[in-house]
Amino acid sequence: MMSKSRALTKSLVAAVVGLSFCAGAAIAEYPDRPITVVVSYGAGGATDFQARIVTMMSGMEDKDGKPVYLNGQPMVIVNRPGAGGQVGWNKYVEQAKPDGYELAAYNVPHFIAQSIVFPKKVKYNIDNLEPIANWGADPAVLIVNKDSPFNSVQDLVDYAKANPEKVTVSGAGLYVGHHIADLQLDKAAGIKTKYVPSGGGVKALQFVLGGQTMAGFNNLSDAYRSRDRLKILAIADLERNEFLPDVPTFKELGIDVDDSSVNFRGIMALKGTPEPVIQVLADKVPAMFKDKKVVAKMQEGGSPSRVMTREQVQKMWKERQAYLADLLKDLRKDE
Amino acid sequence: MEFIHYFGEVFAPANFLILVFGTIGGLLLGATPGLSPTMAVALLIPFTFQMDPAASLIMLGAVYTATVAGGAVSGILVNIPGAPANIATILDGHPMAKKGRATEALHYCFISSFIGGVIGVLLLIFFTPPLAELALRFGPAELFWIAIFGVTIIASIGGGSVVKGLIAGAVGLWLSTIGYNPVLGEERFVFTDHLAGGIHVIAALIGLFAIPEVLTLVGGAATSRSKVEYAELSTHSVWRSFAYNISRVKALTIGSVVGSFIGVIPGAGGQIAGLVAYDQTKKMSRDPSAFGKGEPDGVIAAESANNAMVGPSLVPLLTLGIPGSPTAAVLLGGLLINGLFPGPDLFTVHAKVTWTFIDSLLVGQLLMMIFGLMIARYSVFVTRVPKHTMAAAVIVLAVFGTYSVQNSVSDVMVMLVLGTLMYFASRIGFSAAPLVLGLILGQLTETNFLQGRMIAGDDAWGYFFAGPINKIVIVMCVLSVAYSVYSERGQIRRRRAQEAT
Amino acid sequence: MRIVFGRRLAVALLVVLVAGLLFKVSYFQENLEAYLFPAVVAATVLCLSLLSLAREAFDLCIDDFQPFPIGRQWPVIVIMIGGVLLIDTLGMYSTTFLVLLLVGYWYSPEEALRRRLVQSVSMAAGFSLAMYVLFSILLNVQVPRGFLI
Repeated sequence: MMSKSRALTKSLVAAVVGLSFCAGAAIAEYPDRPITVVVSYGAGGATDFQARIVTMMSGMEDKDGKPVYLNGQPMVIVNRPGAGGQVGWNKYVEQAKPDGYELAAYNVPHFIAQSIVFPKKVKYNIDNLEPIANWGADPAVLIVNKDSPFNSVQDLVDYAKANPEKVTVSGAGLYVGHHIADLQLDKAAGIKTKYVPSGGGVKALQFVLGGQTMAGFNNLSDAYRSRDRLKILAIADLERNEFLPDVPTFKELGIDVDDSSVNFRGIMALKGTPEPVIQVLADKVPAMFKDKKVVAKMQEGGSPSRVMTREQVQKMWKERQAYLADLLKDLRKDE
Repeated sequence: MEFIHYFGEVFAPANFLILVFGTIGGLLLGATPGLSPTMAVALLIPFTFQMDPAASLIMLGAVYTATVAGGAVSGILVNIPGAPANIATILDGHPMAKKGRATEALHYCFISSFIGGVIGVLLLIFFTPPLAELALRFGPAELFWIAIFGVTIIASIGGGSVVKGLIAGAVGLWLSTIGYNPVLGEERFVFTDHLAGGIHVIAALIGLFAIPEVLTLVGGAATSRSKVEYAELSTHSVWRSFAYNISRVKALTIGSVVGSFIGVIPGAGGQIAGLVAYDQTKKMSRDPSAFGKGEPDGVIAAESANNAMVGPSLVPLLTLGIPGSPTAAVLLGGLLINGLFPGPDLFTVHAKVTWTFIDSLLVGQLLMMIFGLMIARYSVFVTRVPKHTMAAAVIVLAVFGTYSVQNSVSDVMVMLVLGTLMYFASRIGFSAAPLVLGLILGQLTETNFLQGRMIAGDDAWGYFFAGPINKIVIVMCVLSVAYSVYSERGQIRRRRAQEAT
Repeated sequence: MRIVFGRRLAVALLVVLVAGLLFKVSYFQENLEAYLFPAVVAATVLCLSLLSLAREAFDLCIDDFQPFPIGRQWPVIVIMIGGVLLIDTLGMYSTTFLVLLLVGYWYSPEEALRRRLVQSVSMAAGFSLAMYVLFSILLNVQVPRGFLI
């Protein structure tokens, strides 16, 4: 009888010790199970498709069977689309655990702009999220149909000055990079255009191709693929892009539209994730994004990649927050 | 005729094997409620990372083709459409199964899918450039009228009272407005967090059909060993089905033409192709009252339409990078990952991959029919499952299928609540098909209406009524409504005459 | 005949009430632009429901009511709703097993208790396993995990 209960106590102690040991080891050996990455857009969209490419190496092993990044644990994409990303990100900050096993993909300026325009409805902002690394940057470009009478930004601006609110400009949605770019263009050129939000980048592109809208802001990657049927007038970035070396930036044309609308995509974690875990991710994830195979696939897919480390992204988030808060201060909703 | 040269590639052992497995897998996935073609293709994209471009596209194409047809299996056998595209199939497919003609219904389904599918792919091969031009002409105004045309068929698919069908359809339209306003971003009617993001069409589809089925099954399960209620299953030879199916030229033609046309229109999607074809076939039939009670023409028209949609939906995708259907949108990701940019390059620089892919679609249609007909033989097993086991199976499939659409437990909740309410509504004469159609069309109507208004500015009237396509579709809407009114008056007159005698 | 007529009139009235509620929440909103479409649709529902009420009142409709054996159906509704509420704590697979077990046991036509239990456990385990293989292994869908698995 006695020996039985002692054995029980012993095994209990062993179990407790074992458990606490495991807990200690969990940080040391993070990650020891697959990591999910929430993508707030539907499967097949640009964000989803790039997220799948850049995370594809995390589960890989090298020739000797040794894990390359993140202990060979795969990153699994989970799509939670809805309302321009608000559904996925809201659920993420409300329901995910800050343990480093639930990450999310971010789109800047989308989520920052949403947190500014809808301060009540939107539960996320740059203060409750931790950037890990950035994989890509897709600048917005101003496009018109091949048959359009506009041959330059100046043509469009002149027409818009003569006909206020007549120029229709399509874009992927409200308060996404395309919308910001249009707001900036209006402000910088002193014109009034009519922004038509559509269900996504491809749909917005279709509006321009089909002549439904006079012009459009779209992702460089999508416009690049359809360049035979479009005129790409200008790019909303600080420098020209390697994919489209002949397209001038707005700044070159004397219109003060900077890179605030560039669509940055990357991976973030929740605030409160243990520091060692963040360190592991901040260390390994950018290296993974720079993997030869990842870069090659991104290049093939026409997706401009721009790998940024955690520190760089932190800085970029802060700058965007300050700029967008100023630009969008007249657009605040639900307050 | 360039495509003929590349058939050899399709029959290369590795590619052919992938095609066979893709087709079988697609049929099985399609038969699982909730795993719609869009889902199935999206879930398989990661697997293509390790394949060469031709093989991965062959797999995705085969899965696309086969899931569309496979969705009819669960629809016919258990009254749960595998995907929105199969709603029209069950209207007559399930009644046929209840009369013991399940095998026959499945035969028609696969044979018609094959015929429609081949016509669709041939259109893709021969008429890509003009069809691409046509696709671009559909802007918000045109799509708005197409959606309205869809609304006009609500009345005729209800079965039973026209007013109740219309009410159900309008409630469906209203339900689709829950969540964010698609253009203005305003959040509407979200009184609980479960509704954030709105009601997903597939979650609703599963709930509205599967849950009433579960309740019917358990409600009828007697204490003795009772089986699902089917009349004694009659066997039906494949060849007889073939002969009959091919003789139904009118249903096949309407199905294939409507399916191909709707497939080309970007954004309309195959979801309504089957329903529009079904409706047209019913209206042009000599005996419209036979529809909804197990008329093979209903199955033939619906299935030939939803597979005819596959080929043309790839036209705007391959030439312009604009997907014609939600599934084609996911397929775009598959193309890009392999470095294949939609556009003229696809047919010159990457001709080998592109034509091999298109050829594999043709061969895939044939394989789909062969394996489908083989599966049809085993449908007899479903009819031997005890009711309570069937109810349990439907619950599990409904829950998992709904969850996997957006990885959301809230969707499962919405699915259950909608389904339970639908069951009681169906007991008082409201049917699920018009409700789902309303839900599908709601977003299409509202989005295009608001976008059209924004684009048009002051001259909204001129914008929505300008252009030949708008005018044609408006005339079709008017005719469709006029016919419904006319046929209902005829029915009332006939009933009065009956009562008088 | 009277009773049937009264019941149908009551149902038609209920439909009008629901339609009125839809109209109320859709029409009386601050931002009319954003609620334009639902307001138009809700107005249509209201008109149609009034039309349906009028037709019922003049007895122009055929009787399309069907009975429902709620006595046999309420357990499955309770089990399903309860199951969904448990998914987040128990995980998808444990909940599935539990729901299947309960549904299988409750509705089993088997008389003998032991066989009934064995049959429902094996069915629940079989279906759960099949779902696990299909969704977690083959399709790699991430489902909530919890108790045991």
